[in-house]
Amino acid sequence: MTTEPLDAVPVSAFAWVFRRLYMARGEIVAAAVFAAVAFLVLYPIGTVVYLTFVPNELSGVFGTIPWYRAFSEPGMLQSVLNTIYVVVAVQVISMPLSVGISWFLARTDLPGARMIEFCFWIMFFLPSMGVMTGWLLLFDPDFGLFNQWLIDAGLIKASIFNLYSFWGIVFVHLTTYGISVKVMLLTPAFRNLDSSVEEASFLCGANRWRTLIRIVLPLMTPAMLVVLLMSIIRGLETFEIEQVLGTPIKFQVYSTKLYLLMANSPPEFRAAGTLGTAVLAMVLPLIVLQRWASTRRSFAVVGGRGGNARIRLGRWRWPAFIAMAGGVAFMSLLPFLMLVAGSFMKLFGFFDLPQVWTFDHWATALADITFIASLRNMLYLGFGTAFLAVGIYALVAYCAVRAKSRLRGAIDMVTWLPYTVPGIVLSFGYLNMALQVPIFALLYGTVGALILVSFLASMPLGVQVIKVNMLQMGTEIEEAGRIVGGGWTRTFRRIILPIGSPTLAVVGIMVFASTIRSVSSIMLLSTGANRVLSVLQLEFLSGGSLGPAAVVGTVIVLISLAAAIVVRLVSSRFGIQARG
Amino acid sequence: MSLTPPSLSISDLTKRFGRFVAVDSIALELRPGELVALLGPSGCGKTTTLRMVAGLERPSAGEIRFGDRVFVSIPRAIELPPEKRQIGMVFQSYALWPHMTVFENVAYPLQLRGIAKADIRGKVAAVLDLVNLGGAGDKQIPQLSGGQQQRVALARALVYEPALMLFDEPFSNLDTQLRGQMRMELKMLRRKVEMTGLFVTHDQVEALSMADRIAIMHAGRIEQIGSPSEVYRQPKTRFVRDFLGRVVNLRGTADAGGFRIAAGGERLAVAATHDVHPGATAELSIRPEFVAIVPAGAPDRPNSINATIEELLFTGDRFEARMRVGGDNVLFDLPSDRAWAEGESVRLHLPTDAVSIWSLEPDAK
Ligand SMILES: Nc1ncnc2c1ncn2[C@@H]1O[C@H](COP(=O)(O)OP(=O)(O)OP(=O)(O)O)[C@@H](O)[C@H]1O
Ligand SMILES: [Mg+2]
Repeated sequence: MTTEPLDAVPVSAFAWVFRRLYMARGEIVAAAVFAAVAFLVLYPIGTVVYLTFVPNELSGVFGTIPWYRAFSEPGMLQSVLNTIYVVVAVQVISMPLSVGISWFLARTDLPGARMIEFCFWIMFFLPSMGVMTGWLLLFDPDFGLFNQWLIDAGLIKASIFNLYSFWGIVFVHLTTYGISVKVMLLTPAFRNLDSSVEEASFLCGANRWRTLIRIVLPLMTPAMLVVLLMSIIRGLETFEIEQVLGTPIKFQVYSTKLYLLMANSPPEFRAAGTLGTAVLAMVLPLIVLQRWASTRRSFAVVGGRGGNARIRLGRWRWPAFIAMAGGVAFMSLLPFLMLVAGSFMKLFGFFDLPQVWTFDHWATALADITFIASLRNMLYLGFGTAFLAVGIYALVAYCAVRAKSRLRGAIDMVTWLPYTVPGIVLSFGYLNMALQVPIFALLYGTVGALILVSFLASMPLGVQVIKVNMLQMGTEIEEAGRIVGGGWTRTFRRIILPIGSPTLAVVGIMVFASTIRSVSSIMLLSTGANRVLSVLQLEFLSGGSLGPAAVVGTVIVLISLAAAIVVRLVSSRFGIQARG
Repeated sequence: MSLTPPSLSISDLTKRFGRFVAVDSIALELRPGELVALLGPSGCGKTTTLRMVAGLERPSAGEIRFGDRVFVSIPRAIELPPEKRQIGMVFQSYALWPHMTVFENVAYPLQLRGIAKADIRGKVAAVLDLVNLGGAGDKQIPQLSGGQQQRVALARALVYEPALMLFDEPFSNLDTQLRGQMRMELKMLRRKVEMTGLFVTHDQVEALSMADRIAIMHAGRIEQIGSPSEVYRQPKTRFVRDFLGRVVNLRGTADAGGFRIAAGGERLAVAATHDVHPGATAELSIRPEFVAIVPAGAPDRPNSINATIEELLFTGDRFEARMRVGGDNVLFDLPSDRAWAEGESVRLHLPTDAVSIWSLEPDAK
């Protein structure tokens, strides 16, 4: 036991300063965590923004010239406009649909509501490239089943829905995250709404419709705003949908344009930097709005203490169920089945060949060196990111929860920042960084570079989930561990970690799942040496090799599904809120 | 080892949160074996004080010593982490570890001290018996009732025989009945286990009934420290007077060693005055149960004054009476064994040592 003789007052100023520093060791660690995260996030973003200020080598002019030059380049402005068109179309269609679906799931006695909600959750987990591959089998202009059936049935002359189009792109957006993320988040919000507010309205003589419009929706507005903004930001993340479906028809959004600029030789860094900065400037107001809306949501989630009486659908019960379940099956099951079927077809989409089915694609893939290497890289990437994430997110979340007020806010800010930076812009920043900072140059071309970027990309959600659970745990559980005589590390190991481990497992698996399917945040850092399966799938899709693409897609989808189910099991078993 | 037994000594302790001063340079000494209550309204800084003693919160200034050990000293940049302070603490939320059984919760502190397995088993069983939880060792924490969880928390804090025990509103999560029972049990436990302790409460009955001494806190400062009867009978500040229970106030004028009731004009001898100049307008305060009330005409005692019953409410075991004394209306309880009447004159006997005088001059605190 350390005994401190009362009269041994230290005289040396050095000893005093040393003790003072020792007392502040917690703050020092937290500050170091802050500095490290801030560097990893801010430096790459800084390089992107800085590019727009670099004077032109020829004219030496500093300032707005790069902007002017960049945007006078063909297609630049158009790509930004196209991005906005897609986002607007997706939201205009998905918002009313999702609100309606969530209301049905949460406020009525629809049969199987929990199951349908779960399907939306699964849908959210399905990789967009896999879904898109499945849809191609149905809606390809030449061999798409849907179009062919209609033509064969004599209903139409030429194909009516072509996935390689603006509306095709919108359709894939809708069926991947567009509706699912909103339903996932809005359904619990609708459920928490105290039903007595509706009942009071009925008693005043309002019917259901009026009640919905005048009472329920206004109460839900802040929640809906938050969800809308989240989903817009998520939409700005996509790259692969437009890359596959837009390139053949020369339809470019900012992310595919940025990729194209960097694929030129020599790569057009400054134009790409300008484009990236323009997008950051577009996202910024959305972020500010979202923060504002989420702090104001006080009356959106009213009570939960009151009643939760459901509205009776009466004879509309089963029709509503059929519509809802059918819609869900159409959006999640159908593309999945198509994808799997496609991986076993001799010629993708051709059902009238003498021999339709084959294991060839699987056999080729499994024997192929590139496939095996990409699979291995993917597993390295997925597990590497998941383990790194769990360890470091836990530390960051701990600092964000326990640090002194000012530092706490700062840590919160930087961990949240990657959320505002689309993956392709972040990886563009890392590409710049690799050219400037030797350590990162060493990482370039390795899976390590992909791990680093994926780690940052998942950080906002991951840290948030862990933070919420740490806050629920409260401080006294931990303090009790200290009081009874355990040091910090012992308390962390024996008490915090065991209690938090289900949450950490959930976060790890979620990070794994979202890392292995994402392309946009790693595409620019991808080389032949560190190619992962999702990148390989994109290459197959872009090159028109749909059979192999379906094989790769099936593998990724199956792994993602398994992850989704494990997450669900673990979190329902331990009552974790993994929805972020 | 020094010969003086350890005792807690807090000096000049201050805690600021930003610009808000939660604890304002307080001083407090605990004698060995003594149980002291920190009593005060919500937000007065009790928990913060306790947490600084435990090492869970760093003071902004001041020192805390325990025996010959310095727990924390800001001027000297010394701080002992909580695990090195050898104290026991019962948290308001109990803070039991949900992933461990009752046995494991209580055994954990012993494991930390490297005690042999067989000894641990014996000690845990003994302390669980002590808190009437013998045989519940295998239970999971969520299976326990509030009172049982409370006992586990107590057992976990007692099992390693800490030299100092801290309690943060240990009974506030229990219902009234259980609270009374636990108070009794803790009081009995103190006969079996020697403990120096500091406990926080905002319930004056709890403080008065359990503590050897009470420190009354208000807005970050300690207003008065003393034995329960001392602080109850002779409050040093208005806040203490009003916080600790009902009080009857009569207006009048102070003089040297006495007090003249306004309007009625009678004079009383008093012991305690609080910075009152002779001739100043003042109020006399006394707790109603110290006042003996007899019908007018009964044998008189010194220091009695006249009063008239204005209104009577019969409540079964007693009467509640509104009386006019001098120019004031005051409330008293009257025993129900005698029939009182509205309009009846009575004599109030105010024992000299239960009376205090407080200035009503505008400059008075
Ligand atoms: N971490 C903190 N940051 C800012 N202010 C705080 C913090 N902890 C406590 N306070 C403030 O300090 C004051 C004293 O708090 P404390 O918890 O000590 O009160 P208390 O006397 O225990 O009250 P209660 O009876 O309600 O538990 C309160 O006004 C509280 O708001
Ligand atoms: Mg408190």
